[in-house]
Amino acid sequence: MLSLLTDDVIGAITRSPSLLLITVGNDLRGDDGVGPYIAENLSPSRGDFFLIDAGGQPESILDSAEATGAREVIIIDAADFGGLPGEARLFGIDAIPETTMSTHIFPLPVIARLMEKDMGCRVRFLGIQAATFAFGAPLSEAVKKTADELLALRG
Amino acid sequence: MTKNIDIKVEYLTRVEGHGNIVVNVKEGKLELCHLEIIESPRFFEGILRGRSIFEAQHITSRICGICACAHSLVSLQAAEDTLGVVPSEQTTKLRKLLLHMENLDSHVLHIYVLVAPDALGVKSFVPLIDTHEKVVRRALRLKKTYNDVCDILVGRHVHPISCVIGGFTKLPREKDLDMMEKMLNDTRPDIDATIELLSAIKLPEFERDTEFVGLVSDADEYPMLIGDAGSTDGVRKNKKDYRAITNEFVVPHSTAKHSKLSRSSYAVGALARFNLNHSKLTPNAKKAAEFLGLKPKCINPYMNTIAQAVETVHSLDDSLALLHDIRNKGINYDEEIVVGLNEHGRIPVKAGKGVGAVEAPRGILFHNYEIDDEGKIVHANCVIPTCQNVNNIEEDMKKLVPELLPDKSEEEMTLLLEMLVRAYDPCISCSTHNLDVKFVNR
Repeated sequence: MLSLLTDDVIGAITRSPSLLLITVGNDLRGDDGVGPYIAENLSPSRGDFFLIDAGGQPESILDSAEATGAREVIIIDAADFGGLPGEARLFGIDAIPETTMSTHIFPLPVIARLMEKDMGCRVRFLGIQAATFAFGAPLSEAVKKTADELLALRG
Repeated sequence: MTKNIDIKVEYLTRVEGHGNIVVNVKEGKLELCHLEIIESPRFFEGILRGRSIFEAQHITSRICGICACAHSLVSLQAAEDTLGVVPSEQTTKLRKLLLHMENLDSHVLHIYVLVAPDALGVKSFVPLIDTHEKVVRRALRLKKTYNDVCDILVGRHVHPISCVIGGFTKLPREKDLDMMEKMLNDTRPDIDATIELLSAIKLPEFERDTEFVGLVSDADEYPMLIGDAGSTDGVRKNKKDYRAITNEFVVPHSTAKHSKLSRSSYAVGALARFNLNHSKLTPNAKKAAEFLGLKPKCINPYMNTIAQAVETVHSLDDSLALLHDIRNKGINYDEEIVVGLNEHGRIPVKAGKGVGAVEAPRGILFHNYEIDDEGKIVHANCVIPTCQNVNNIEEDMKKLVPELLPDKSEEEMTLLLEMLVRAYDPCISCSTHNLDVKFVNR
């Protein structure tokens, strides 16, 4: 299976001098678990990036994100943008729909916009095209492959 | 009048879950007015069958991501009723505190994220960052604080871990009590500002007299976790007779059951609680109600949001009073329960039945379990607040649409119908059963 990581995605993950990666998602819902999977297997041991797993409560991370002092933020989440399963794309905040899957949490774009204001830096979304959001399903092969490639970039 | 209307809102935003509003007016006559609940059933009662009653609260809290604590607490109440366990005074106080945190969290989310955009003339919460940044930050601060207190109390922001049958597996330490008290006190200015914000909001003027149902009690407290099920029409029944309150029935256009009591429908939730128990609110909450123009018996369903705001004041006041009381009496750590599923038989188990009734943020919530001699659940029934409200919303729509017909455009009518449904703060996913607006002709 060929890599679906594009140069701009690879560049964003590897070249940022002070990067905060934030993962969101629900590991009970198939590929929606790609964020938690990356968080679980990624260790910011070299100290050249920061990692926050926001899980299902992204509204609670504003303070801890600001405390990192990061100069760039990438929020990693499963997405459905009509791409190939496992395809990864970078999006600006404005490209993310205002409605969320649940009204039980604050809309993610709101959190991202406030983060930009507080941290004075760019916040982007790295969406990974999901193959399934089925309850109880494991990560699909394509999404897991992309996740593992992303992990290798910062491994 | 010979107007025709065909309104079909396929995707109603700012409610939890999916449902349709379908309105059909032909030559000025209302022919169809439905709130269709189109979500699939979730079969939680079926999931519970065969499981230990000691697992029930962990399973049922997953029914909802925002009223998880209410589901846990009503589940524990039903389980304890089944097993004959009477919780200690300390346990009851901590449970009341937990329920207040959820009430605050849920009401803040509804007021700010789901209702404020309508009141401030924008389509969603997101544009408010540019026009009302302070409001957005206040909402986030409030929600984060109540989530964090919940975390201190029961080990998680949602889906409590440490509250179990008979008590808590971990009780708050002195420093936890200090922290919770400080955190809650610090939200006072933001709660005051919330009341100010709502005082500037003009809600639609619409009234329909209906029956309001909720917990009632002879005690002095505003009943959220105690009491019988009662109504503004004078009905009062022990929670064990909940079926005689809910009288559920099935309609073809909805996967949510409908309910009725003395009339064709009834309402539950913050407005129902206010109408039933306003005299038991804290003095600050009463002042807030007066300031916001909320008086019993209020029969404008749009005012449910105002009742929620009043309840935020009450919940904050009562939470601080509970914390003060708990601190004064001192925590008895001997009550801490070893984690597990009663493997050591600490709680005797025999076949039985039990019912719990708790005021969730959206209204009275019932759980009913039956177990065998081994403590396995053989029957379960959960009656969710939104299910009880769906029929009442439809009845409101049937009165509202003819009143709007002469002066309002289809677009204006659609917005007012959507706002009506949102006012009830429905949790369609929980109800398994609701929103999408279809108008057909006027």
